[in-house]
Amino acid sequence: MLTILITALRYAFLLLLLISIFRLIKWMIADLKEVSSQQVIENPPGRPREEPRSSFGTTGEVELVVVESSVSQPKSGDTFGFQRETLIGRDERSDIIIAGTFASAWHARIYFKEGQYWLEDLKSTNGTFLNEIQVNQPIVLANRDKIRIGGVIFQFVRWGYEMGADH
Amino acid sequence: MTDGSYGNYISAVAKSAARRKGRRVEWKLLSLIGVYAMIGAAALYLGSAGAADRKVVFACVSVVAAYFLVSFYWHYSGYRGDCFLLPLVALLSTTGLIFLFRLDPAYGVRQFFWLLIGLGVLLLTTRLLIDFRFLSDYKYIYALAGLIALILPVFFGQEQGGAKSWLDLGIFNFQPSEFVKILVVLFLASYLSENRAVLTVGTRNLGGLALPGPQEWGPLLAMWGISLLLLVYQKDLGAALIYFSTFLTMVYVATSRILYVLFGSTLFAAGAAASFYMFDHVRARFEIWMNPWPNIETTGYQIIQSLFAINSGGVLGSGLGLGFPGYIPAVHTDLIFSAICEELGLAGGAGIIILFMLFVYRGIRIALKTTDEFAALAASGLTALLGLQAFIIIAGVTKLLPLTGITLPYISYGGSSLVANFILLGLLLNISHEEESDL
Repeated sequence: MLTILITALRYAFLLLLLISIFRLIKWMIADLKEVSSQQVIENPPGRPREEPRSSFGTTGEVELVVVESSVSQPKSGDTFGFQRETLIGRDERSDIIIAGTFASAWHARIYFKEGQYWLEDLKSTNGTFLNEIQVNQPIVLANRDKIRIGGVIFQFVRWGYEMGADH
Repeated sequence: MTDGSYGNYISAVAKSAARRKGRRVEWKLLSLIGVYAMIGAAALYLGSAGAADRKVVFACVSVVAAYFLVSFYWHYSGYRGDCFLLPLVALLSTTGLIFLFRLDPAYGVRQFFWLLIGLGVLLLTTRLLIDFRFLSDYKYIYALAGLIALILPVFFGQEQGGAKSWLDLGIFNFQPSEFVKILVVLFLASYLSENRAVLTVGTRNLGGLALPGPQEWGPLLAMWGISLLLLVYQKDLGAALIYFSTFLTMVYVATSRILYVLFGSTLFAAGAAASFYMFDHVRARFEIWMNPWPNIETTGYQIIQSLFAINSGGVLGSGLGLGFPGYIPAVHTDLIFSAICEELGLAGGAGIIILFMLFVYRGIRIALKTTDEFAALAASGLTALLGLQAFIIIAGVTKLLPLTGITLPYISYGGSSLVANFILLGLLLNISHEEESDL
């Protein structure tokens, strides 16, 4: 009986060494995926950074990228440009339409004021989150900020910030 | 609250969330390693039918607890160092501890105390040297200290295992070259980050090749000379190989010119060839490596026993405690990898190699993420140092390279080596801590 136990322990020892290694590798890959998803957004393929930019408010300079989406519309990877005011909601007349029942008809808006882009929650039922903190009053968006509405996460990308330093 | 500070606040919240997640990953991995160590200790304790005492169980519990304490301390002090390096080292060092208890409980007990001291030194390093940048200011002091520490054993040293690189400090023997390695990396990181531009572009043109002036060549030649001196006077072939290959790696990282690597390797090969003809012990080493079988009873005994042990392990090994590693000379230090291969087989041996590769991967990642030149060079140098040391000794015991007397980091018995490698770990963690805080 004891010999069987000891033999089992001996193989369990080797097995656990290998399991530990697999766990380590698994966590490291998860960590790597996190980093690479960040980098893809920072520098999307096929979009050279030196793209000619028009003045404020049109596409190219500023955009909203869908990082994650649990609904049919928008899909992960979609990008949206901006007007002077951009409405986000379930309603068909919104600039960015979110399918499903989680989002309110007029959920949130992003508008341009004093050289900044502001995010405002339009008293939505389920709330708007900026970097996982609920938005209660209009707040300025910075490059790479994450906006979450239900199961949809957008990332705010503003090239102008990085380009501005060169002038 | 102004918008700027609010943004900072938000990103600080997000970052601390990420850090907590990182430490949780570390705890999960450490728990798994704890179970692993317990099973190993139980197998050893029950398997040897009373001959081994229960010290092994106690030692494993304490060491795992000590790792947890280090991690808890980091958690509460807000330390942001890489969360995979500590579990990697924990897995390597508990494996080493269990094997040392299996080989000789006396070594196991001493290794246990050295591990606790090493973890203490790790905590001190991550606390006192957390702003490691000031280290770059004292490069010539390192160069001098390192040189003195290397030369001392030539005059006052003791010969152990064929290499004259030990100092007798009364209570214990001390191997300065283990610590000098780290000083060399810091010196080179500081020196290269200052002279990188000149070394990369060159100041004069020589037959179509842009080469820097002699003031930039100086350290290269000095390193070459020191490596050869080590090789010849201390018979410390392993240390010489590590120094020189780490040096070439760092020069390549700094300049990305393959020319320096080729030139440096040629110089080293020339020096090695010359010492082959001039010195008997170098020639003996080389001949044993090429063909140990004629001297199976004498000089080739060690490597042949190592090969026998690795071979007898098979794929899954004989099982912990069932091999015959007692036949291998120096099995507790340099040749511990052969004992692991014998008892855990190809699976265990490959596992150890993968662990070192993962360590190197994390180190390179830390080096790539930093924006600072000194930090990037120091991180890549320290990583190269550890990776090359593991490679050279594993290659040595498997007869891929001539067998040299160096330790397998974190696994082999040896206080100097263990403490030095924990300092190395602490420095790497400090660099990753800084880059996580900067982002």
